[in-house]
Amino acid sequence: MARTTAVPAILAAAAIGLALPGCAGPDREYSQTQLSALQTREYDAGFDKTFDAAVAALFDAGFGVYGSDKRGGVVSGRRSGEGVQLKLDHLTDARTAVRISTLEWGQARVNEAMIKELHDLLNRRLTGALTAPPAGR
Amino acid sequence: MPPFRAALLVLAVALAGCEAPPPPISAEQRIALETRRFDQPRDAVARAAATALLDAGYIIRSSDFEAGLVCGERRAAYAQEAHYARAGGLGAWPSITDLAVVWVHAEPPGAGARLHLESCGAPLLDPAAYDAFWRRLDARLLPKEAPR
Repeated sequence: MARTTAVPAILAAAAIGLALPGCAGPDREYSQTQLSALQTREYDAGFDKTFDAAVAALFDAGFGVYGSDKRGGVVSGRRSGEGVQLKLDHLTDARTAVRISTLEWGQARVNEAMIKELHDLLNRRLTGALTAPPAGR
Repeated sequence: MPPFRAALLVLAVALAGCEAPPPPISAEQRIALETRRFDQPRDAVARAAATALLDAGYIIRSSDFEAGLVCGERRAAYAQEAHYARAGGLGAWPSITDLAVVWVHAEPPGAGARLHLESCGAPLLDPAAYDAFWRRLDARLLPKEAPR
């Protein structure tokens, strides 16, 4: 009798163990240096061009841009439960730094994959590897 | 409850916490769906875009004219008015709102526009919904008749 109840109990425990890690893993601790290196990239383009590329990258990744302050260099986006904030800093007339911070369900949480995805899309926009279709309307 | 059924129930509840990913769409497909070009100047298209959002029943949630961005929000068709009000109205939970973001930028000799539509927190990828907005924007860009 004990054996018949033990097997389903083990199955239940295994089910929880398998299902939960798919939703969320433990948070990793980052030093300030690690975080800066992960979030910030510098681009060989002026502020206006980089800002446009950043907005385009958010659209390309399916984010809804719900907040923007171009003069302050800030733009915020949302995609399902994920959020993102981009901070642009003018370094020189031909160089701009972009820092990408991520949120999950309203809380600041480092999402390395999302940061990389957006930096890569931004870079593709700036290098002309990703552009609007040539056709008109 | 029999232990085996309990195990299945626990599994179902645990898996329900994970959202199914939206159907994959590439950046290129997104650009083709969301992009439109206009012959008019950037500033005129940006102003008309904000008006077209209001025409479509959206409330302007945020706007940055310098960046050419305007974001509108409205109660989703299925959400009851009371639910929307209780959730805080404007800026409420994405699950009961529609979101529209328009980005207008200079693209000499005219302007380029990009539209992002969401409904209930999920991207709206129906071309008809995009066409409907572009038609509203076109209507707002038509020359106004001189007063008689």
